[in-house]
Amino acid sequence: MPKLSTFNFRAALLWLAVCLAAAFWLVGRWTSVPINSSVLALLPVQSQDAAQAELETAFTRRLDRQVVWMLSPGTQPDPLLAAQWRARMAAVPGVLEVQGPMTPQLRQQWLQFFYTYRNSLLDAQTRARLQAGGNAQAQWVLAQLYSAFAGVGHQEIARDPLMLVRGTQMALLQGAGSLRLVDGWLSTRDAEGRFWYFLPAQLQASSFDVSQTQALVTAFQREETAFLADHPQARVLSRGSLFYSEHAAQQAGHDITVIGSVTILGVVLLILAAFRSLLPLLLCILSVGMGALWGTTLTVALFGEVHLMTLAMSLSVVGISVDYALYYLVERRSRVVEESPWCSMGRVRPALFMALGTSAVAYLLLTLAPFPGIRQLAVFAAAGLCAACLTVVFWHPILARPLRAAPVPCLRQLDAWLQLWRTRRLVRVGVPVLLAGLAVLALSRLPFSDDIAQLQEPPARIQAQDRHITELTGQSMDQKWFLIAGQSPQQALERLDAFVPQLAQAQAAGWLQSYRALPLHSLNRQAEDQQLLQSAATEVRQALAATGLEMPQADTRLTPLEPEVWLRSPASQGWRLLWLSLPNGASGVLVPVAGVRQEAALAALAQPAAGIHWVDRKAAFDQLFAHYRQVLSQLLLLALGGVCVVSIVRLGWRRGLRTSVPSLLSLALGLGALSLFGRSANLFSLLALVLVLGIGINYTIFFGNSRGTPRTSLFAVLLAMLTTLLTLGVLVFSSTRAISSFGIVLSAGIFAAFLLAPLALPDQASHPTNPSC
Amino acid sequence: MMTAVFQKQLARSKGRFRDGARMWAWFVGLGISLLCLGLAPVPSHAWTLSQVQQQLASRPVVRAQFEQSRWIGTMPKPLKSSGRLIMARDRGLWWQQEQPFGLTLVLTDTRMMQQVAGQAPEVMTADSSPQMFDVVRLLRAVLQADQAALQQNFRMDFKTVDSGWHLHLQPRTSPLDRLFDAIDLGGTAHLRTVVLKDHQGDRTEIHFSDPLPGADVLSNAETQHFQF
Repeated sequence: MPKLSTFNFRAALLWLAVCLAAAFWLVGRWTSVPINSSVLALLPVQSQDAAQAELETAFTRRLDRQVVWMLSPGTQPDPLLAAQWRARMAAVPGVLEVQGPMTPQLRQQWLQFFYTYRNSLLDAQTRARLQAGGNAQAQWVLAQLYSAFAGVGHQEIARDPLMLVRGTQMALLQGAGSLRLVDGWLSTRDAEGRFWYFLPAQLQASSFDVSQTQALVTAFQREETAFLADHPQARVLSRGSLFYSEHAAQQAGHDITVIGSVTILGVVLLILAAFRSLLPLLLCILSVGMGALWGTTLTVALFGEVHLMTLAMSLSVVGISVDYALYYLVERRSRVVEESPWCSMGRVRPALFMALGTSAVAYLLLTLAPFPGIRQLAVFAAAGLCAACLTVVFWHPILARPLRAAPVPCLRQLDAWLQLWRTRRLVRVGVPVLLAGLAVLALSRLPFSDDIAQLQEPPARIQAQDRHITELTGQSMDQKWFLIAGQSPQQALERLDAFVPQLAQAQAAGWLQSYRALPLHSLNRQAEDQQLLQSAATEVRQALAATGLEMPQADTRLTPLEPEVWLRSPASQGWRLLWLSLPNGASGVLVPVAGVRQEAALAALAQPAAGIHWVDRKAAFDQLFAHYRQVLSQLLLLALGGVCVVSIVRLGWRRGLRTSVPSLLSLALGLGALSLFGRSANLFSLLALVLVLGIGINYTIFFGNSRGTPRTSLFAVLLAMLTTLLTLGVLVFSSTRAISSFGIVLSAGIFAAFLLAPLALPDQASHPTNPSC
Repeated sequence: MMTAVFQKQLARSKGRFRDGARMWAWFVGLGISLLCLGLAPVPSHAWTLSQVQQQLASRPVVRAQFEQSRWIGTMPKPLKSSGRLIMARDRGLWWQQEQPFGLTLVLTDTRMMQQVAGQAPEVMTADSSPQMFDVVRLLRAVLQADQAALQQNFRMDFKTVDSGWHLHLQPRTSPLDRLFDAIDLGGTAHLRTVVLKDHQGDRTEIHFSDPLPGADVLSNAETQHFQF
């Protein structure tokens, strides 16, 4: 015994040393560990193109920093009111810029720009006419001259005989949407005759974290209220990702404060009530803490980063790993008088290792998935569970020494429950059959959905304003676009030039209503256009001369237009968001599309190899969810099969199959419970099932442990279930739909696992064998 | 100094590019709508503006021929064109230039189309250029004898002359005043001439024929003109 304890003390010390080392290492690294929150990082590895991902993230960040206000002074324009609103909002800390009116100076610069670069900015229609030969352009110029509707003056002819500026302007007008300039301000009018100013704004780059988002939204609301108090006839609409994320953050904050405090209070009270001592609570926290430490350490060591989702899901590891400590402490307390702490450990150790082994294997199976997010989660969970278990095995016998003896509470009821399962065949067969029937019924009615929009119901007020703005401007928040990427700005523009005709064809075919392609060409295209102009100019002049019109010679020299020059000019106003050039030269152009009717056909236009990507943010998320759901369901089935095989090998056909029934039914019932609440199953439900499986296995193993006492096992399992329900089950009350679904599956599954766990009891009511200690 | 002059010119020509098309469309449309007068009984006494305007809504469809001359800058000869037009109160304006080459313009409440014979039509919609269609709506207001619309935008000088009546309009609101010096309308029982003068010294004169005989509804073939 002393020898053994020496060994045990050494092991405990060694574990302490290793844990301290891990803690030091992690603390040293922690400040430089990147916390990855990009959903794209969760995408399957093979489909990730680093450059595309980087551009997409940058674009997304930028778009998320946009806010749009629409301000209506009434039925008549009131530029002063718009200016007042602009000044008010621009003064809010965190707002970078609110777009102002087009001043006369800007107008002049704007026109000067189009005149200077008229030979470099050819629109598609003018190019088509020039390609058809000088005659088509001559006809068009003639039509403009003769039309009383066109209003061509002699100054225009003298300065721009080919009327290129006019062509560009008409092309821009045709795609301008319903917004127009009134007194220099972008504005529109609705069906009821109300006049609306369009005021886009940009937020500062740093305004992403939760507290700043909240401060901004609060400030906006305060300003709006004050403004409307001064101008009761005015109306204001707002739009921006900001408002959605603020709402989500508020909901999450509510969840954390309300549910979080309920959870902590509940678990503390539960453990205190069960043990009537503070020590077990501290020991539970210790083992869970070690689990979190090792999970994080190994994740950082292997992946160099931690994904936000991994951290969030680490909560689940807590739910499983606390079971180990609880099981030991319950067993230990009932045997304080008769044997040493190490001896009690000997009773539960095989069961703990068995439980750990099965859960860890189940989690490690997840690493087979080609999804980086799930891999991280699996590594985190496996490492965390091992560490929590080792902590219990090595330290708890030493630390639990002061634990006082006490009988298991509610002994009579526990015994009666066990007796029911042991003696009544009706219960042993009837309950599982009944539950199986219930599960089949529920599952047959359960819809599956990967629509992320269903996960969370955005607040009606924000959505209504969003829809109203879409109606007014024709600009929706669909977030469907093509991303044209290139290794250099010129490559991106060349690819855009090559791609736009395809989009025009798609539009003609009715696949989509409209698209917004950057009115900027690559230098190559500019040179080609100049060739066209040069060869057509003389022909145009001759054709016009034939009708008796003497036109001046057009200046067709090339004035190359670089993206930087365009970006600095007022001509790029309203377009700048669609162009992005990273410091390493990688550049991208966004081409938003609207009114998509043939999504599949449009998506098929993408050629990722040539830098043309189809991006549908919502569909991408939906797809991601569907992917993960499929892979997870396969892995779950695999894990379930593994569990069955292991218990059959261990316990033989009869008992092995019987022991697997709780796992199987807990999964089915957990999922089936969703249909009871009118929910559909999604990725989160499956993640909950992974937990149900992991936790449910613990229950059957604790029950099946031939060295333990069934009634202490039952108490430990009851305690473990209550802890899990208190930590994760309370998520049912979350105001976020996805999270409450998670809670439903988990609660129902865990409860079913607990209910059926006695099926794993050893065949005879044999007295527990004593471990050799 | 040079740049200042240059920029002034730019500002003007820009105004022309963006607003010119719509404003001209408006004035031509106004002229056409006054054609409706042609079928009203000829009063023997002196004309008043409200008399003229009261006739506007009287005929749903008016058909006529036009001759147009445009004097642009220092061109030795004016650009002369001619053709026919249909003004349908419910549909809009169909303007068919026949000489010296085929050119079709159609203006409805929500769409504007220009087509050079043998080329693809160019269509502008109310969604894409709403300012133009505000003008069309203003035209509707004129058709319904809404004097306020004219009074809001012009200084008006209406007088009876030997040959009938004359209406001199001087824009007083921006951007009209940036585009035009003056618009002159003249007629007797119906509208005879529209003269548009702009700041650059360019001038457009449109002469209308007597209204052609025809039904108060569009024929099937005529209806086709407005569908594009």
